[in-house]
Amino acid sequence: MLLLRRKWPSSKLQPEFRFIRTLRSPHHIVPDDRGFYRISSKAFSPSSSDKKLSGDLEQILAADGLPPDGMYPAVRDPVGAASITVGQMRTAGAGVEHDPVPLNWYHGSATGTGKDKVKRKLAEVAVEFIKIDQKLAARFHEEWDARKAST
Amino acid sequence: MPVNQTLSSSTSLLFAPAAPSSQPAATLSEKSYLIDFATWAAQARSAAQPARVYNRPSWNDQLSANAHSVLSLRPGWDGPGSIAISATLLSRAMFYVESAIKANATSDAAPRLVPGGDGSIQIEWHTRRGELEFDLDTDGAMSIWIRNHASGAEFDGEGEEALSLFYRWAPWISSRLHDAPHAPTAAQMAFLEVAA
Repeated sequence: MLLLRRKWPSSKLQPEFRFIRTLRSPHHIVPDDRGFYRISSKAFSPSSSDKKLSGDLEQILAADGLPPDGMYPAVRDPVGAASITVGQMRTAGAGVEHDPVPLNWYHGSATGTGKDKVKRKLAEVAVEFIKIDQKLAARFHEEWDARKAST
Repeated sequence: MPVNQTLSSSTSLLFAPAAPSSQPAATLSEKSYLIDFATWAAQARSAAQPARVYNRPSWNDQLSANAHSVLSLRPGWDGPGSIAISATLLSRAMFYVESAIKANATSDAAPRLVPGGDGSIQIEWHTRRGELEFDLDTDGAMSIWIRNHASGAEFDGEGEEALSLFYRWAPWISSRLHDAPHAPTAAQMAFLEVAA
């Protein structure tokens, strides 16, 4: 599939479509002092060594007739998903590009999110596209932290 | 004097014990025992925490468990191209937290160590008093953002300024004495002036 299709140019990505990022517990979310889990701004810092942030592009999913959550979950221990429109990302100072990977044609990358202000702005405007499952988040959190005892 | 030792000396000055030690301050690399997080948590707890009358995990235990989970992440944990968190960077984060709040007997809220897929790590508190996010990058860069809920004020900084702000605000954010006013000690103020 990857070989037969041409990558979308960034200019073709419309601002009203969303960039969707799977939230993994406990590494993308943080509890406040009431134990309520929320999205960490760190969830929008670069997710790879080449300083790009991974997510799925709603516009490319829609072009194939797929729903926005068609590739959810993208990582293990998922507890929800955050979304930000491409327009909001550009306003915050991030670039968005179609960046297909072997197992995900709909994969997109955001650049420029290594800057603290950009990352924080993205966290401010992000919405819980799939609401964080608080109970599941707490369970994964406990399971991860309990690994201490077994290591 | 190595940078590590300078850092350690600075923080020791901030929270110096009553009796001066004849031993030179440990450097960050010498503190690599911090990788044994369980031992570290026990030592820090016995040194700084009063006896508890309930079973809620102390901030040391919570932080130790958190560090273990971060250290167990493998390459690819956050999708294509993501990398593991290095033990060195994690130790550095633990060192900063320990030296900032260990002498504060009222510390209650453990920060959260949040990993980044690029190998960076962020120390976060979200409490009734405010929010603090201190980001440590693999190349040594540091940045911080703080919000005081009472005043609505926000601060941010980078590099050494970020570290100074962290040492100033972490004890206050983590304190369980939510009604106490924030009054930096004279030693803290002296350190901040030097750091500035």
